[in-house]
Amino acid sequence: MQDRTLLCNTNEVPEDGMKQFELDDGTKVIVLRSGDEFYAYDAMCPHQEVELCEGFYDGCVLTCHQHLWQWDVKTGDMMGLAEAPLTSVAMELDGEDLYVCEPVMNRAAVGGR
Amino acid sequence: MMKVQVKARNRAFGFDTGVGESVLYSGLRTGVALPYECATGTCGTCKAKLIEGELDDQWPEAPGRKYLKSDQGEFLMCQCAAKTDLSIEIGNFVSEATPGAVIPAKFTGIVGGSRMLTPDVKAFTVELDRSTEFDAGQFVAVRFPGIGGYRGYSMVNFERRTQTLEFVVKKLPGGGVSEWLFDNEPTGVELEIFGPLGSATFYPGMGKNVLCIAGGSGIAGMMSIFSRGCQENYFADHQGYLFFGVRTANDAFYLDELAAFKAKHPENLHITVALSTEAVTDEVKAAFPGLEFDTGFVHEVAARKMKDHYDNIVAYLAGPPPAVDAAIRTLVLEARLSADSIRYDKFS
Ligand SMILES: Cc1cc2nc3c(=O)[nH]c(=O)nc-3n(C[C@H](O)[C@H](O)[C@H](O)COP(=O)(O)OP(=O)(O)OC[C@H]3O[C@@H](n4cnc5c(N)ncnc54)[C@H](O)[C@@H]3O)c2cc1C
Ligand code: FES
Ligand code: FES
Repeated sequence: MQDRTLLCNTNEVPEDGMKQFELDDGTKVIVLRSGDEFYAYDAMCPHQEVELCEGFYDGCVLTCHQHLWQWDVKTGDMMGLAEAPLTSVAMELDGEDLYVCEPVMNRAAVGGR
Repeated sequence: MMKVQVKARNRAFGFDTGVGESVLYSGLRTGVALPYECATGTCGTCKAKLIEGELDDQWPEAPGRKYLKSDQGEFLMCQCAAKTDLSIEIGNFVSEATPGAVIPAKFTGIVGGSRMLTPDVKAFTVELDRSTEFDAGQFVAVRFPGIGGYRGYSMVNFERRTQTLEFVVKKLPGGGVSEWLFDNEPTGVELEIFGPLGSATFYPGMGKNVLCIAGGSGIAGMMSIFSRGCQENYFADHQGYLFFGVRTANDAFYLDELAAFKAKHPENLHITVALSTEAVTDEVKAAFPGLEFDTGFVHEVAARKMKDHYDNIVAYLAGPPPAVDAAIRTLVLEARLSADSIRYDKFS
């Protein structure tokens, strides 16, 4: 099994809502919930140093409030005005707990999506 | 003159820059659509990465720097000038300026006259050294004598080609320009101007219904948009909705001008003044029968009244950042407008 770190309990993330968590090493991760599915990404906007949790999320589409870049939360793919995808965070659901796997962010893999 | 070499996400290009001139302004004036929003150091949108060369940062305390990774050589193009030839990198796609768009340039202007609209709102006109074109909804960066840096101000008037620009300024207590403008008679003072700037623009050719949500002095650009719409008879076959948020009825201004727009197209224009901290009195309603008045924050009033009217809409938002953010949230989450039909200027 891979190294993994406990991130949160699923009931900490509201239905069709989002919440930001900080790992021990200072990495910030945003967890978004769509029904019973959970998705985790780098908490910072791929555009500038802006926290995505300040933006808007309707259960499907995440919008950064700063310049309105948008993403499909299920895939992290860009929508609308976005010029870069979200950086995904490898994650496992174990019972009611969410774990992030090492390495947390695989930036190199993102561009090739 | 020095050279700036730029590597953007999609292409490489270069332009010349002068001593003390911001990298952003020199690029824009040569017709390159560099990324920016406020052009005055607050938003962080103009960030670039220094690869080689030396910069003169004219405002190291600029609030927009909080969006940068400075340990990676990122800087604000609107606040930095070149000391040597530069090589820089921009993470965004950068296109040539759209054909037909007005390329911004440097002007000098003389303040023509000013008048108080409320105790903390002042309007003034500026005569430029030559005529220019601009689009309704645009702004210029203005430098006042003896005050550091530029400030953004949106044009209130609209004429396709003009030498006179009209502005309205809401006093920010303690602010550099605010304190000077409200303590002095500005007539005859010479200003440095760079513009026109901004992409929250309105063109009759777009064929959409228009929604404007303005907080306080954010009404400036909306006056320009409604002027153009009325001049070109746009509202004969398009709807125009305008929401103007102020604290109390005494803080409102341009009500006569707004009533005059309404009188031109009584069927299709819908103009509401939202008072955030005061109930609407019968007296106010009687004084402006063409206008509607409501109580609440302007984005809430707009959300209430716009239900079922979002068809074929382009939305313009301007004013203090919290008011604009609240309106954007409403339009994205409740009205489900697409991001490219929302245009905004945050007056930060
Ligand atoms: C696109 C846009 C359009 C705007 N339109 C209007 C309008 O139509 N009417 C209106 O009333 N306001 C408008 N504003 C706000 C306006 O630009 C000023 O922020 C406001 O008038 C307060 O200015 P001040 O000098 O009184 O305050 P200050 O707090 O002294 O300065 C405000 C701004 O000036 C700049 N600044 C301050 N010091 C420096 C420095 N040393 N070097 C470089 N830059 C500096 C910064 O951008 C700062 O945020 C607009 C802002 C923007 C971004
Ligand atoms: S910072 Fe998020 S879209 Fe620009
Ligand atoms: S455009 Fe430079 S900080 Fe806003």
